[in-house]
Amino acid sequence: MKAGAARTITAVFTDFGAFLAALRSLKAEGVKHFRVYSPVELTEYEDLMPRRGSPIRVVSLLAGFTGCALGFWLCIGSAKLYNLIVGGKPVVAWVPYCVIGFELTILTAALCTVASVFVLSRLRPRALSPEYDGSFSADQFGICVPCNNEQAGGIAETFRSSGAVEIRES
Amino acid sequence: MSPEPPTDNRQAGGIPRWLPWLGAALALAGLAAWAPIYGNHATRPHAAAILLVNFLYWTGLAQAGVVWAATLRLCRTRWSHAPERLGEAFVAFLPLALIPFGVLYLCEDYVLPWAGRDMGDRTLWVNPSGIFARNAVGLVVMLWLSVAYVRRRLATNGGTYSRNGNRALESAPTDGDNGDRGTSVLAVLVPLVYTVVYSILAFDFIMGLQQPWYSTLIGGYFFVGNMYAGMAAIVVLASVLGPRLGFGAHLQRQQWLDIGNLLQAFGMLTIYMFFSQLIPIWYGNMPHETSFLLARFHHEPWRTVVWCVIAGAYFGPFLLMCLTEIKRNPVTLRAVAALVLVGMYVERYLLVIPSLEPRGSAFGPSEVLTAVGFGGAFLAAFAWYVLRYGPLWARGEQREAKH
Repeated sequence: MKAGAARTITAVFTDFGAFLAALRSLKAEGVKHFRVYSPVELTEYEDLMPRRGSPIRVVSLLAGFTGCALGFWLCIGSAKLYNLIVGGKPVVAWVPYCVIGFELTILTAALCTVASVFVLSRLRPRALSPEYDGSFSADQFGICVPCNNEQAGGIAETFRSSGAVEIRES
Repeated sequence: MSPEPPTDNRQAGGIPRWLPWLGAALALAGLAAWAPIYGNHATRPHAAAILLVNFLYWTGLAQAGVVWAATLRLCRTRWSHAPERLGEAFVAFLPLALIPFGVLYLCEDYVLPWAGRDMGDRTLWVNPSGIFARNAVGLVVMLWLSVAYVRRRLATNGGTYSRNGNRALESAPTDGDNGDRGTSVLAVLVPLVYTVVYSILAFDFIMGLQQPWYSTLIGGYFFVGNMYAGMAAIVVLASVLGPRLGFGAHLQRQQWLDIGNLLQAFGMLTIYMFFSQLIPIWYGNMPHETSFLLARFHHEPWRTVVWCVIAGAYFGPFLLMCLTEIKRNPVTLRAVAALVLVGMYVERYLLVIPSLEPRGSAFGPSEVLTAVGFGGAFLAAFAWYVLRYGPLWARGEQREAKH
C-alpha cells in the first residue's frame, strides 16, 4: 500500500457490477494504489487492477549474469591454478569456457527463479490487514484505497456513486 | 486465439503500383555499378566474388521465405496468415536468382580458384563442371517445388490459377478440402529438399572455395542462417506493408510477439550452429580445419568484421529481443529485423570473401550498389507477385475461417 497515506477508505460491495463500476471509476481517475478483496477469483477485474511487473524477472536476469560470471570464474581459476596441458592453445581461452558459462547461466537462473517463486508467492501465513472484513471471504467485495485528507472525499463519493453498501474510513 | 479474418473481400495488393518499377530501377543501378568492376580484367575476380556473396544471400533469403510459408502451413498455425502469404510471395525472386548463377558459371575460374588443380581421388565430386551441374539441378528442383507449392496454395485460396492473374479472380472458388493433401505433401517436400539442396550449395560455394577445408556443419549453418534472415525479411515487409496488404487484423500485438519469438528462436539456433562449428575446430586444432578460422579470426580486417557480425547479427538482436515490448511493437521489431538483415549480409560476405581475397577486399559504393541492386530485383519480384496475386489472399482467409 502507498506509504505516507493519512487515511484508508474501505468500500464494501454486495453487487459485482457495482464493484466493477467502482474499479473502472478508480482507473479513470488515475488511482494507482488500492487493494481489492474478493470471495472468488474472477478474471473480469484483472484488467482493472493496477499493473505491477513481477520482480521474478529481475531475479532471473541477475541470477543469469551471476551464473555466467561464476562459470567463467570457475574455468579461468582452474586453468590458472593447475598446470593443465593445453596443447599450444591459450591457457585462458573464451571458446571452451563459453560452454560452462552458458550452462551455469541457465542453471543459476533456473534455480533462482524457482526459489524466488516460492519466496514471493506469499505462502507463509501473514497477519491480516486491519481493513480486512470476514465478509470479504463470504459474499462481499471490498476495495481499500490509501489516500490523504484532500482525496478522501472524492474517493468516498466515487464509491458512493458506484453503489457501495458501506464506506469505512480509518 | 487467431483474430477474426476480414469479412469484406477487400482488395489486398494495396501497395503502390510503382513499387516494381522502383525495384527494377534499383536493380539496373546495381547492374550499372557491378558491370564496370566485371569489365575491368584486373577487378573481375572481385566482381565474381561480390556476385557470389549476393547470390548466396538473396537466393537463400528468398527460398527461406517459401520454406517458412510451408513450415507454418505444416504446423497448421491459425495466427500466421501474414508471414505465410508474405513468405509465399518470395517465390517470385527464385527464377531471377538463376541469372546470377549462370553468370557465376561464366566466372568459374574466379569463383573456384582451385579449378585446374589436380584434386586426386576427389576429382569425381570436386570439379567445376560437376559443381555447377549439380547445383543447377538442385536450384531448378527447388524452384519447381516452390512454384508448385505456391500454385497449389493459390488454387485452394479462391480460384483456378492461370497465367492471367485476372482470370484467377473470376473463376469459381474450389472446395477448401481439394488440394489440401497435395498442399501438405508439397509442404513436407519443400523444407526437406531445401535442406539438401542448400547444404550442397554451401559445401560447394562456401566450403569449396578454400580447398581443402572440411566442415560437416557448414550446410546446416547456411540453411538455418537463411531461415533467420528470411524471417527478418518477412518482419520488415509485414511491418511496412502489412496494413496496406489487408493484414491489419492479423498483425496485432500478440501476433507480432509470436513472429518476434520465431525470429529470436532462429537467431539462437544460428548462434548455436555457429558455435557448434567453432568449438570442434578450435579444440581439434587440425591445420586443414583451422585454415578457415585463421583467415577470419586472426587477421585484419576480417577479425573486426567477425566481432561486428557476432554483435550485430547474433547477440545484439538476441539481447534486444529478450525485451517483450520490443517484440510486441512492429516498429522496434522492424529495427531489430533490419539489423539482422544487414548483419547476415556481412556474415555471408565474411564466409566467402576471405577465402577468395584473403588480404582484404574493397568495399565501397560499387559493392553497396550491387547489394542494393539485388535487393531491388527482390523488391520488384515481390511487388509484382503481390500486385498480381494479392487479391486472392483475402478470399482465402474467408474460406479458411469457415472451415
